[in-house]
Amino acid sequence: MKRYIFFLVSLLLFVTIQIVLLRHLAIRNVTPDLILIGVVYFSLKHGPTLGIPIGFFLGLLQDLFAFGLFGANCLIKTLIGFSVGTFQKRLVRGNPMSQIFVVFFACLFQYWSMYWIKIFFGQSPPQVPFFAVIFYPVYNSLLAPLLFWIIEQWEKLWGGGVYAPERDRSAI
Amino acid sequence: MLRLLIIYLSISLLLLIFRTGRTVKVGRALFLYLLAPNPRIVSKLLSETGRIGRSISQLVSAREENKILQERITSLLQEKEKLQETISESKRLKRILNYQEETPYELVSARVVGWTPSLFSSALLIDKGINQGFEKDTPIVAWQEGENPQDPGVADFSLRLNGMAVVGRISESGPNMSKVLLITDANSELAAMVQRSREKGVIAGTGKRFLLLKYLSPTADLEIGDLIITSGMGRTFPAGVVIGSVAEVLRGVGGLEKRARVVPRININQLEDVQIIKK
Repeated sequence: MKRYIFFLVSLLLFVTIQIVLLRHLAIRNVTPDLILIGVVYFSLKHGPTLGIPIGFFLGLLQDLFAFGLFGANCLIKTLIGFSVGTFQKRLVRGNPMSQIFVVFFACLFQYWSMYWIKIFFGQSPPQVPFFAVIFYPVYNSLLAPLLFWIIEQWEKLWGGGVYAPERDRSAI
Repeated sequence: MLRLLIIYLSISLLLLIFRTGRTVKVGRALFLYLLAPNPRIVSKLLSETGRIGRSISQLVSAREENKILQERITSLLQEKEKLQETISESKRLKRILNYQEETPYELVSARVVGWTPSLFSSALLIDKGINQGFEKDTPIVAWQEGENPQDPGVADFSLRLNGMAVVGRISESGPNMSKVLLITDANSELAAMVQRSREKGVIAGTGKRFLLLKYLSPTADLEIGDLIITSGMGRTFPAGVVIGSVAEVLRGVGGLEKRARVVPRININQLEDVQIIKK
């Protein structure tokens, strides 16, 4: 039960912080994407079994507050949760370089998936300035180690490993 | 795990396909109502965050002071901050009240409580909604004091220095919160005209800092610095509200129309309060 409350509170907290506060950290309109980093964090730490639903629900919340194609963020974040979770075993989770690398590619994946989904559903492609396309993955990947650490501390506040990943469970 | 992925992907695809359906729309409205950040809490959070941020910077700068003086200075500064906040708040309210007396429209102030969490759209969240009588397509304006430094026309006409200008329109309303589609968003289009020559066209967001004025006749009288205002056609906005100034005149595809790059009057990144035009 505790773990469900933890995840529910975390999802709502991430979205609220994203909407209300992170705008103040924007550099030329590029804002840190806590929602994406949250999906990557949980997928990397807990695997795809948790990464998929976390990605889906964070994407859904993002879709609720954003404009554009409703459901597109759900789809993209679910895929990110699955992909990052699947490759988690090949990555050194605590290594900042791994975090930077994964967040960088997750940002690129998100941009290009949105681009193609919009075209597929008959909409004009996203009008994002060239600077933002380049700076968005760079900014977020550089912030990733810090945000990962903050989310980890937040998780520890709830008693740490509130969700035992599958491979650890077998060890237990 | 693959089954889990297929289930969630299928739900996502269904949401995408039926996004304009009634069921999805009702579900969205319900979730928005349940999950929207409480404007009061958000306002408090914003002011607290600002206060905490300033307190931290004060502590860093006061590191070299001795302990007793530091305590005294900190408490004095905190009091000063509270006073400054009160003064700036009262100035802001006074300003809004004065502006409301100057304008021919009935305006209601709303506070910006959030920004949409996406790289692909620009919209903001305000603390007024259906309960206050505001629904979809209600026009939103703001008061620009001073000038937008990107605006090429501000130096030419004293009229342009201060005044009301278009921010966007409500695209979705919750009971106490609304989403505002900004004029800069690529999904935004608005009937507009050139104030000097009365040439009519459509102003569209580009997702960038500039707007695009399009569908003007190839012979339209248009110059750099011309003021662009709402034309009143389309009935979303009343006629005569300032949008921005022409920064560059362009030729449309095949020379069949004239276009212009327009710098919006409002510096959207600085918005804290907006005014809603009561219909």
